[in-house]
Amino acid sequence: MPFNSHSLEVLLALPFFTLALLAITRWLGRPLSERLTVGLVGLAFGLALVGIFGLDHPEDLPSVAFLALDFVLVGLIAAFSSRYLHREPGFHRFYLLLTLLAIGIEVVVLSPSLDVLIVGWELVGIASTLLIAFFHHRPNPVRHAFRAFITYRVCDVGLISGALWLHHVAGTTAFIRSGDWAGLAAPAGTGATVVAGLLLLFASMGKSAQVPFSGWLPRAMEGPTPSSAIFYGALSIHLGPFLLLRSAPLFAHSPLLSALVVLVGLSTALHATVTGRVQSDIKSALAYASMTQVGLIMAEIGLGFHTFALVHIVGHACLRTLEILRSPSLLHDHHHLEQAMGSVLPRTGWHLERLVPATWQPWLYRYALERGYFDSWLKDGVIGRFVRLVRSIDRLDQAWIGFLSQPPGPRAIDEAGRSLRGTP
Amino acid sequence: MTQFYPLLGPLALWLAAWWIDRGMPDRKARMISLSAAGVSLVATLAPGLVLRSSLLPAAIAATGLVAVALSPLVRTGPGAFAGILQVLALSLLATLGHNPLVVAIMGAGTAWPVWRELRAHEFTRGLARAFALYLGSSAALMILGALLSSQGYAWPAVGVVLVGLAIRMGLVPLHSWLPALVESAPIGLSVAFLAPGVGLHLLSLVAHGFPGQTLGVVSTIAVVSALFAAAMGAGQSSARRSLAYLLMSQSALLVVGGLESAGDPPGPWLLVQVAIAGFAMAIAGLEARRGPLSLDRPSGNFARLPRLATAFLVLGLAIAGFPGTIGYVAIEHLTGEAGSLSIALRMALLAATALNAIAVLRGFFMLFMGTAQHQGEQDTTRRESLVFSALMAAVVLAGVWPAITWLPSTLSSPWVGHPDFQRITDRPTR
Repeated sequence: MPFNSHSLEVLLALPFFTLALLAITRWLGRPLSERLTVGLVGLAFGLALVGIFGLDHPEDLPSVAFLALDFVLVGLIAAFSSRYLHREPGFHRFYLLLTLLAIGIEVVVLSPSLDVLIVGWELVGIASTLLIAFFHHRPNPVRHAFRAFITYRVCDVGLISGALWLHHVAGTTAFIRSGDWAGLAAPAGTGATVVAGLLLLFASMGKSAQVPFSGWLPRAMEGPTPSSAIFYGALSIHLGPFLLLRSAPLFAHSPLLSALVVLVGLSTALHATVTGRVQSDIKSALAYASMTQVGLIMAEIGLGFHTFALVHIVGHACLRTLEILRSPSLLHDHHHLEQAMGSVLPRTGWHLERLVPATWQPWLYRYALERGYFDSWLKDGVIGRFVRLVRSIDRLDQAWIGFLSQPPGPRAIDEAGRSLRGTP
Repeated sequence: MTQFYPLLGPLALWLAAWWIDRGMPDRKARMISLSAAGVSLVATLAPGLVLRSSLLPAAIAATGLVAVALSPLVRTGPGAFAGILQVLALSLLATLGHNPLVVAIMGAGTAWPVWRELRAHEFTRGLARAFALYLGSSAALMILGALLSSQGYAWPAVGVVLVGLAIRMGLVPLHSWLPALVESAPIGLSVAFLAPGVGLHLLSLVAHGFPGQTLGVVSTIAVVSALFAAAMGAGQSSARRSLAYLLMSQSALLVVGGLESAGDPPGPWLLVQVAIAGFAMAIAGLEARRGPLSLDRPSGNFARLPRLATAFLVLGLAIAGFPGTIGYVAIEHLTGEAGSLSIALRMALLAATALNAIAVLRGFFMLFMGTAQHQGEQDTTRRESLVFSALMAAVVLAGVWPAITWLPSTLSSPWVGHPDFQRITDRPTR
């Protein structure tokens, strides 16, 4: 057995208990004190971290790496946020959603099959969405949270459909152990493997903000800085690569799929590094930096460097969390430095800009400002068309009922007919 | 004597409706309705009083109780309360019957109180005409089908009953009455009328005689309806129309659930239907506080209505099949390996649930978040809090309980390929 029962009790029961307690006290209108809330969350995940050492077979590398990251970072963020969000009206909501995220990651990581992984995957998605809308009295965080949720939900269909498809063609979605890694078994037949791989890649692209679904990530930084750090610097953003690591046997069976993963990863890295250079706020710049690294990690997985990708994930998660947590005080420091120098700090990155031919620079600048045109394409070309189509059908439906609602007679029919034709 | 015990609920409901119809203040009408709905729920659940093993009557009674308890007096007068009770009484009577003809007649009767309420108001009088056209046709077809079935004409009976049911359940393309009804009628009355009663019970009675191919066709139509309605719901600008399409999508999913279980829908689906009633009534409550609701821009203040917003979100996520709620278990039942649906239909169902989730979250963000302005609206009353607490507890506990029982054992089970491997824990399927 990979986990003995006592370890699991600690790993699962304490966070669940904490979540339930936070939710019930909040619903009853008697939230716990700030100190007790932080203490409970810290204790739950501290003990859970100890629980990792009770695992019987901790040699499944991705599981151990992600579990340790989950518990350590959630504990650190809980401690950091106790001051950062002190007396914030949404203090308890933040800790509730942080606990939900940690449980979601735990379920994803410990899941022995794709079916169970989906449960945690969706928990992480809703926790992320609600934290983006944390500052709910402003319209922009709410709009951005909704945008992120649409991306998550659409790409989740890929994940669940992938599980359905694997059940259909292979009869199972269990992760099979092979050495230090566990992953899906490739179904018989290249076509079936390619379909399953494409669906799972689609799911990964949404969760990890790969092109063309990258637009939600910089917008997601509207949430509180500690949640941005843990979601989009460390845990949530790396779930896509985690899913690809679990699906690696499928990609190993199909060079086409592997090439596609590399292509998606490299395209994202290129897009994010170009777009990130024109961002005028530090959190957006860090979001694109995060996207760049995750793109590279995806490419590494596509090329088969799984251990290297795992090390890259752990290193990037730790570094990026630190950077995002540091970003508000860094701005403060920059202001101090500029005041002391009496001038603006010198720009960085000239050496890279010199490599780009002068004729390309305006075009690239426009591309970066427009975020690669992906956002407008998705918003107007896909979602806008969908909404327009739906509303046209609905107008026809209303006109039809309007026609039936008229009392019988030639005038009524004429009016309803005009209404159907759209004439005033 | 005991065979008459199940009639206690419908009798209490009908008597209460008759009493309310004689005229009384709104508040008193709600109190009497609440008492009668409570009696009917107890009557369907009390040990020794339940003659049928199905939970369908209990689900109808619970839906009615939620509709009555959460109906705001702003849009629900005594006439509407009486209508809700009459619809519930007829639906309960229909679910107790075993003769398709009796069930069809009772089912046809449920439309009458709704039509009467629509006729009673100037602004819905026109809609009453369209409603009568659709639901009158449905009633005629269902009664004709039941008559043909009793005469031994199996195939014509099947076809006629199916068309009648498609109208009653709001399946595409015979659905147009449903969004119009939800948009204009009191939401409590719409919820009671759309409760999973008559149509499904009649379906369960006649479905036993259906050949598999016919069931496949109906399932396909229902899945297409669920997907169509989910897409329509996600793109609406009015909260009421979005709710209407959500109800339509869930109605279609319920048809699939009923067909998959070859009888009354299983417990999880029935509990989801009660959650839908709570969700719809949360919109009714918000509308009573704020007036007509638009989904075009964020216009709510979460800080003013945290409980109503939380209830809306939790019940909405349950409807959308989110993990940790009963909706997940229900969707699992449809998309699992045990089901008879094809892989394409199962994927279409997943797409429908994803769109429903988008509609729910859009409603949450646009109605409860996005501004610091407010109209001085108050959060839930004690009565509303009690009902929402009970609903959320039921929906979450029933969803989490299976996870509590299987998740630790599933997670602690051996990896495939490990020396300790004994069994592949390959559940649940989605």
